[in-house]
Amino acid sequence: MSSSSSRQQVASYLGGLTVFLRNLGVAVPECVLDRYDTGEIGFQIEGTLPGWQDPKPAIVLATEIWRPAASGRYERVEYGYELTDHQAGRRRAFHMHHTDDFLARFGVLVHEHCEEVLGRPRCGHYYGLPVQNGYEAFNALLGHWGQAEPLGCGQLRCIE
Amino acid sequence: MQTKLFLSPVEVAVELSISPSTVLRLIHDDRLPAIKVSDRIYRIPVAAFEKYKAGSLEAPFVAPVSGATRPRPRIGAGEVIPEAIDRSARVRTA
Repeated sequence: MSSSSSRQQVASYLGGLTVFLRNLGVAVPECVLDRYDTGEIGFQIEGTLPGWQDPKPAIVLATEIWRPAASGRYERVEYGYELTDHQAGRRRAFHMHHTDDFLARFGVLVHEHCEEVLGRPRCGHYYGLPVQNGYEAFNALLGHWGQAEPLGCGQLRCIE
Repeated sequence: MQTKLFLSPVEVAVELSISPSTVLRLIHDDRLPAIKVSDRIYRIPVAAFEKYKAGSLEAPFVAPVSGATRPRPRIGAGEVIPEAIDRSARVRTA
């Protein structure tokens, strides 16, 4: 995806991202490109990973908000990509939201979450690098799925 | 009992009676879904391999656009945004 896209391109990207997950065996319900009452467009997709299901399966989640730009195009202005692995009891996420606040206070637009023990983060927000799109995010997140190695939260720098 | 979640490229090669390098080529050509565990290590989810063998991998499609508008989701709802520490003040009082 380029920095700005037509609505059709975003819809195509969403369909492609959904199929990308499904072909990996992730159960993803039918997806729809939503129109919001703010004039923005976006989507939320949640996928259930195969394997461990009891008491909860591993989940991936993608949320993106696209704001109208010039000439009928849209720019992605917020995102959230998440992996919550209940079997391993851990979570990893890439976020861009509340950008005005993060920019004013810390000089960053994006941040990350990392929980080696689910629900007990050693730091609420970590510095991170921008994620280009959902494919890049899920390639990174799914690399942790079902693997024994730690997430590596200790290598990240805490925003404080 | 734990169900096996992933196959290595070598295991897929044995299953398909092809070489591991051919499996890696299928992965690099986006014809066999796989996850990249590290720079040189790929794992093929068993569910993905079953789809591949069955010829049931899905083709990309264009998502439909909703007819009605809905409220915008709030990403990061519930998160407490950290307060910036005034480090200059800390230095002044040290």
